[in-house]
Amino acid sequence: MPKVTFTGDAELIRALDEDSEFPLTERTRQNAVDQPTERMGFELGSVEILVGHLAAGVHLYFIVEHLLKAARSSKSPRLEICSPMGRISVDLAGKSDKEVAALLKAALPFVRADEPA
Amino acid sequence: MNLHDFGGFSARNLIVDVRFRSQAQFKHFWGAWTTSGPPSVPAQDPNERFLLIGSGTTLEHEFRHYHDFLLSYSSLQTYWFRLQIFMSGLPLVLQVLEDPDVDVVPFPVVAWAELSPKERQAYLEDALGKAHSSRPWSPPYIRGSGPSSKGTFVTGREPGYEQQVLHLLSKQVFIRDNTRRGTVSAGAFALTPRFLFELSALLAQAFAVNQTYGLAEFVEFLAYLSRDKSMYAAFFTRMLVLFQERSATPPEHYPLAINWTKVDWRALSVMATWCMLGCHQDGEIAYPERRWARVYRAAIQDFEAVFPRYLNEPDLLRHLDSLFKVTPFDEALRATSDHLGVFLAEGTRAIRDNPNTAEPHEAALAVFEGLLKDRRILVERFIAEPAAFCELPRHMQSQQDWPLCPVHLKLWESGAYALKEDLNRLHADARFNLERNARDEACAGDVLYPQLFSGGTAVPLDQLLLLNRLVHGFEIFLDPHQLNPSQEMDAREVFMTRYGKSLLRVH
Repeated sequence: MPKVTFTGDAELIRALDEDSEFPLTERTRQNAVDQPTERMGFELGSVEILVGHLAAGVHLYFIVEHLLKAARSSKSPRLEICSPMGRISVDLAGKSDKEVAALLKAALPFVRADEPA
Repeated sequence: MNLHDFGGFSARNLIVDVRFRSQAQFKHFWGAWTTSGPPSVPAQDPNERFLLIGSGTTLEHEFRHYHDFLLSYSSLQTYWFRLQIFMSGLPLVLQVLEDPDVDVVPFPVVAWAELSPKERQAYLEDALGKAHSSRPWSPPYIRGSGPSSKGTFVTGREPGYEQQVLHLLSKQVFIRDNTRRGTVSAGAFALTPRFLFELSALLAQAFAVNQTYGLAEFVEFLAYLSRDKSMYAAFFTRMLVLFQERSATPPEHYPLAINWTKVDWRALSVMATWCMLGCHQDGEIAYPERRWARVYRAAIQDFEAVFPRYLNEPDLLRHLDSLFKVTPFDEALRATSDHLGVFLAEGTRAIRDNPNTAEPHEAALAVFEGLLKDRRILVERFIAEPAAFCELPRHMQSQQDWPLCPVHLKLWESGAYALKEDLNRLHADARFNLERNARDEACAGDVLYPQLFSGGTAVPLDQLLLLNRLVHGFEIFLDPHQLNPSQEMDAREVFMTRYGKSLLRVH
């Protein structure tokens, strides 16, 4: 299963990590080094990274649903998502599931992306 | 673009980029540089006022970065390693991109080469699926023992060339990353050299605000930064508080108001400068963050012993040298210039004897040679009169006496515009990308000033621009952490379109 990292505001990352249904296996949470913090324009020490593995069979909309749920617990719902095949930056604020899914495809081209019925 | 993104001096491309959020902000910046008297700041909102005041003094902030970059051994050393990695790695990367038997190129190339064949297979199966039929690049495995290259370049294309280059790259990447990252831990984050560079540049900018706008705006600027929680502003404010209280302040007493009349600006400026004056002969204390850590630990124990009140700038520099048992600053600066000159001489010799070198290699050497010339000019002026550099109002008023790098006004991305003839008023050698407006006047999208004042730079501009294009084009293979997500995705698309290769990140 490809290794994927989610980098963002500590509240958002904590919410993702504590979501037992979020389909990221073998996950670990760590403090981000200065570079992502600086790039994302957050406060010092407030950025964390969630690293884990994402199965190719997972449905894109299932991931999006959990990201949007976690975003509700954060004042700065911005994420960088990086997999071996792509890397994107996404601001979840005010976005629909379709909009987020369209962005996520570039970073996670290996997951199932057909629209739910 | 975040609120504080006024652009920046890039130690990657040696150019100051200036960005604007609006035409109004550009007009304010332009007025600050082309009209006499304090520019008016019509906005009431504190954020809007900070945007204008910050914009009007961006250049002073960024030029200070260039000066600190030239003074600091670790900055020039890191830049040299970056050039060396590029010169060593580019021929190998091009060979892989043109290999018809490869359709997946994992990156960064050193991380991939350091995976064993078994680890690589497992990685590919994880990333591409067990049944994948792609043909990945399979370089020699280089982790652990192997022929470690003693030289600084690999010349020729004899058998074993690929392995030699990868070993060399591995060593150079390790040193470059350690130098850039810094080695001082401070709780949840590492104190990188950048914190010290921003401290120095914000000090310079604060005094530029005082000089350009006046005392009320200077106080306003400091107050704004003290409320700002971004990384570098928070560090800057902590340092102001230390030099205001002349002792450590327990965290429970924060936030403390900044009283500018109580801050020991002379000592603070000398400390910020002293952190840049490391000598390669002094081991770890050659690096800005290490020097700061030593000073900070000593200052919170006994501030008066570290920063006596009665010393002038050069005497305070000598006092710090003596207290921390490092090479005296004048000797350190000259010895380090000579040491950096050895890098250049070795590179020149290796390139001259190497049949595989090309234009980019010569450009890299010409750029580094120009940088060392700028450094020697700055160093000699500094040694002749340290106060001219450390005394911030004097440094601000004498920008034209110091080497200055090119300035790139990025108008296009902010929707700002200006007439070519107006832009020429600042300096006649400007380079433009032009379009015509509705009145058929020539308007500039972006403008590059090779030099704004007489100081200028010895770095040859055309060679620098050529080098920057090539380094940025191939950065993803050697230093992908420097790219933001959209740059990485653009690079992936370019290499797929141009060479038919998929790029696979190793992380």
